[in-house]
Amino acid sequence: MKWEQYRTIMERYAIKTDDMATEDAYFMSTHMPFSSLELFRGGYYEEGKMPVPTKLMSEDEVFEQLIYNPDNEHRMVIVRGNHGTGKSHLIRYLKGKFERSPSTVYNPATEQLVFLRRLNNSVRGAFSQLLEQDAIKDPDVAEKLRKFVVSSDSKDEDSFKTEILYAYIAAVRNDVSGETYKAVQCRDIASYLADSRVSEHLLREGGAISRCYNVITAPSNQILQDTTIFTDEDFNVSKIIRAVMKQGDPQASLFATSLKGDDFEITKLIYYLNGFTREVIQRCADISSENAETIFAQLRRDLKKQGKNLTIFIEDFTGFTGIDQELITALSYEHGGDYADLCRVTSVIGITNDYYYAFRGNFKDRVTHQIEVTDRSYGTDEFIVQMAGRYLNAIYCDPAGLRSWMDSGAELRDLPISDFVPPCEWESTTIGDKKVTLYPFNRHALLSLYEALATKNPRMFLKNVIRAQLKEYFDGKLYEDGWYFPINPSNAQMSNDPHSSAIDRLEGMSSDDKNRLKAVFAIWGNGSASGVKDTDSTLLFGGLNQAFLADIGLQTFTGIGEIVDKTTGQAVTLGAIPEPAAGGRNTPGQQSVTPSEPSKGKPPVDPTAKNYQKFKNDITAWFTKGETLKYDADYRGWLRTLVRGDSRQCGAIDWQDIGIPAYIAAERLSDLGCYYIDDQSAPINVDRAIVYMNRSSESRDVLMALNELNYAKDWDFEGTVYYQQRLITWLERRKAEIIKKVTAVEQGEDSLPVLEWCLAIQYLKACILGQKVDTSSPYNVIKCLFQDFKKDDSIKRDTCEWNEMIQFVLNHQADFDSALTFLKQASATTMGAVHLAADPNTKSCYRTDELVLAVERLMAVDWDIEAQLPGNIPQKHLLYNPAALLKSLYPSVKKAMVADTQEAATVIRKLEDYVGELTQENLINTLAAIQDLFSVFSANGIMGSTELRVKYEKPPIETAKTVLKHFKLLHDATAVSAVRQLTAYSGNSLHVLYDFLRDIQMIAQKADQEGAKARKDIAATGGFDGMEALSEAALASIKALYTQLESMEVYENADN
Amino acid sequence: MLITETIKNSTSAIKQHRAAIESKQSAETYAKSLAQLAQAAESIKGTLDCAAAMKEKGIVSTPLMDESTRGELLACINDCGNGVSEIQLSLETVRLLKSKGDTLAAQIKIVWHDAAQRYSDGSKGYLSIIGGLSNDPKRAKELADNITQTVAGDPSIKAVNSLVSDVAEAKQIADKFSLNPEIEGFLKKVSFQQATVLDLTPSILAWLKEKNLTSKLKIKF
Repeated sequence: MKWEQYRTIMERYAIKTDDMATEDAYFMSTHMPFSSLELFRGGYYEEGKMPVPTKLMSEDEVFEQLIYNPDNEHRMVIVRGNHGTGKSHLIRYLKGKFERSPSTVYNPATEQLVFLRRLNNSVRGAFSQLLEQDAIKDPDVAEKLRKFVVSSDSKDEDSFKTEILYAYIAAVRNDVSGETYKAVQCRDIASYLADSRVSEHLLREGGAISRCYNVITAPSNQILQDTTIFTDEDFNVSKIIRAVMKQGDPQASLFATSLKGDDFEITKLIYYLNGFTREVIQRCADISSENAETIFAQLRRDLKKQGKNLTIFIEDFTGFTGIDQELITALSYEHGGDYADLCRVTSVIGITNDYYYAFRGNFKDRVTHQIEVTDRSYGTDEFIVQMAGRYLNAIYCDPAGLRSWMDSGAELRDLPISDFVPPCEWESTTIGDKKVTLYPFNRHALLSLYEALATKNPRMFLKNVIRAQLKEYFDGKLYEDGWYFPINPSNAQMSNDPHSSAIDRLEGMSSDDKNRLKAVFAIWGNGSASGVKDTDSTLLFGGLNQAFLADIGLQTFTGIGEIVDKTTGQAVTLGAIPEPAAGGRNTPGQQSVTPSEPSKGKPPVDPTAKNYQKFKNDITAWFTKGETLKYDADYRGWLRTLVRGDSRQCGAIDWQDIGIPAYIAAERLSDLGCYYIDDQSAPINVDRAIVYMNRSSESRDVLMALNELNYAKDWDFEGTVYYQQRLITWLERRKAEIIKKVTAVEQGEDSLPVLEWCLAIQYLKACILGQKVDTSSPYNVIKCLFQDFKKDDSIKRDTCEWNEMIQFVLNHQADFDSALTFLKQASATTMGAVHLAADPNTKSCYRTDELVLAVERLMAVDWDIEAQLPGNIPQKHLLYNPAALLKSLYPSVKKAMVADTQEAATVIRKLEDYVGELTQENLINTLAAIQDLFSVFSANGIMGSTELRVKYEKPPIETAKTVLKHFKLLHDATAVSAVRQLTAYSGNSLHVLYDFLRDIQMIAQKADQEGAKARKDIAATGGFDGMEALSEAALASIKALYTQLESMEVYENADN
Repeated sequence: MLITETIKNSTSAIKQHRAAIESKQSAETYAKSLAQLAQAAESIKGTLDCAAAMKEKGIVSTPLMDESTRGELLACINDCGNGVSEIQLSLETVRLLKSKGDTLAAQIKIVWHDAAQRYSDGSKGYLSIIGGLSNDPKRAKELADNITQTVAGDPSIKAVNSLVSDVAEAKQIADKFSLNPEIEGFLKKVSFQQATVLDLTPSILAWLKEKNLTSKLKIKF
């Protein structure tokens, strides 16, 4: 039997359940025609209030009435259904049928067919397919999407995730719609999301941002099931909420308080944030709504000009998250009238019911027809059994025969039927009028296992029943030990308890086998283990042929209690029982196992030895038969251990001795994707390979050597010397090439100045964040730049460009961290195995001379090495990542420096308006005047700013010198390079002058106000009238009194 | 505009405002001082007039003010005069003048009580003896009470004039009686309720009949 072939066919071709890139031959040979598809007209219905379908249709009726479009009617057909119901399958069938139709139905000269598959079900995948099918006609949009596809593939995952998170935060912060939250609350939410605890939780593996990342960039062999980004688990974490309440910034804390214990608020937040996903994806892809809408609109315009119409099949629309609304809009315009420049379109779009109900507003008035795939279409017993039969037939069929059938038109009547022969008479089903076996399933097992599924749909049935059970069956047949077939997912129990208990008491049978036996009787059989000798002498247990039990490694079971002879109705003795028809290992003389007299089972096989043999066979088949390597992941792991080393052993290349930092070697060689073996099964880009192994006898011996080593655990096995020699020879031949690829340097070339790049990154980061770098000596510079610089929130910048630079640093924190790690690790000499280089606790010596040299070179060019960066920088490359980061950072620096220079000129001009020319004398006069003003304020009881008064009460010369120092810094930096400007501006002189200007403006304003108030009060004070007359009268009376007194007679004092 | 200019303008305005406020306050103080000066001057003038009247009417025989008091007063008046002339009269200056005036008034008051007492004693004594025997005993009593009150009250022109006038009227009533010493002695005994029948000498009885006073005298045990 071709068990290995069956298994390979099943996994590679026949049942790729989540990946619809099934080969056409297998797709057609396994296709089950849908019937009872529910048709609705129009696009908008309420969930749970769907009307009775207009009619029930078969898939061919759908094709004839909706896909075939001879009258050029505008049609937008959505195919709805829950996950796994077969929407994509139906669409692919309709597309295939359309494609194979005669020219009267489909004429490529007048009809453009676009087919967007479910494979690549991610935004990146959707964009890739649009580009591949040349569906995007606008060159600008095409370029943007191409750039996005490339960059999303190459971007570092962490930094891309951070970018996504900040895109959400920015979207929330900028939300002033007030629709869900008021603008002020949006700012609180943004602060909450930006809190490190919340961010880390959202960025966790499996968290919201990971989900969004997957929606955008899921690898092409992954299918996403859900596009809901934020869920309850992202926010309903009381520990985080409490921490933010206590330690978060005031805004975040305020919002955390509103979330605490309030499920409604959390649900509201989740709903609110999910609403930004489209915007976030567009932001990440740098495309606008208008851009997205033009994708199909332009395609339709171009086709119209060519006299063509468009039929588009989209297997799963959820992959277009982000531009879905725009695409629906572009496809919904009915040609003619205002849209006479657009071609006719027939669109068939697969969407899940969840998606439909969530975004039904998009479909209302646009969709012309809905087809719903329900369990009416696939849920019948006959459907399930027939589907299983088709898949089993495809698996057992000769692939060449199937492909030939496909090439010759794939008529059902000509479908090849496998030559698989079950070990005994077995149940079958029909495809057309042909019988196909259901072995190793039977009808009862198929229906029982389908019923046991938590989610009953074709996809789950294929994946969790057919594929899962067959895998174990094939493995069991392949290795003939360690049987796991059948799996009993729902723990089905035998209905006959005494028999079940008796099986438990069997001796000489492992507990695993007892459980398998019980599962077989429960799922395949009639629930009992009763033995019957049929009229043709076939022995049946639980209704199952003994040969079947023997075939699946249960040959030791010979029944429980009496076996009834169906012919005589009498019990028969064991000696009269014939041997199993096939598959069993019992020899005629071997004693059968009974509960009372057990025989010994086969001794268990060592799994390591089993694997050893498995690998050996695989390697041999790869070399001798040209087959694909099945277990290449293991072999590549061995190669990694050989070249790089692991926790138990050093690698075989003396990296540090040859001058390559351990860190670089360890990091560059850590990813299994760097190891490539010809015709390996894992789809890896060979261009990324650092260690490449071709198909040769030498390679075979290397793999064999590693297999032996893996099995023996040391170099002490037969043929050690030979294998070591082959292994070393192989390695030595490739050593130079491996080293070249690890260091990314051709022989004879200088090594990449990665340390310089990393130092420059650190220096720029320090300057951007306003941190001081001691440049008094190279040693001090190195000491400084080995720090992890953090953002100081007390430093305020006055231009948005500088703040954008800071944001750039925050958004690319992972890249900056990597650069710092690289700087620290790659400049160190690690003791021990290279893989230890990544351990921060590993003690090491720094290669100071290299660092000093790098710093000296950087200082000589004022840290500006933009011109020295490589022109073509490989993406996602450990050694080039710092250069890539610098390359993206320098433009931001330049932009910010232009802005700061302009701003500096502005602030100086404004200051001169107040102070005059910025000389020491003028500044002192100004500051003295300010002090005088505050003194006058104080003397006259005028309330002024205490802060300002205190700030300017020190001797004017001191403040004047400070202002002049910053003015000079800005003035001198006007005409120098951007990086020198960055150095100059880093100390925030601009802010100091702005501060001074703001103070001066406030003081001037206050002086103006108080002056005006004083003038107004003077007018209101007024004089005092009649004073002169009063004075004269007083004077006259005084004079009279004086005269009177003077004339008065007095007596002399006694002492006189 | 340069900020130094702005500040200069502002401080200038603030200072002017302050000066205006101070000027107004000072004018108000000056006006208040003038008002108090007028009161003080009026009061001192009254005191001086009173002192002059006392001397003139003979209530006192010597000047009531010593030279130094006058000198101090003159100096205070002079200061106030200067203050008015310079429109800088302070409340303190006026208060000092007033204080001096009050001191003088207090001195004159002390002198007044003694001098007025002495001045009115004789007439008032006779009046108290014969008042009840006069034709208008009620008026005689009024006069006696007025004189008592005036002497006990504060000195003033009015008090001086009142005292002089009342004493003169009392003298007039006494003169009409022209008593010899025997009769005067008898009347004194009667007024002190010490007169007995033995005191009714023939000359006394004759005088009583002459003056129709017999029915006005009663015998009492």
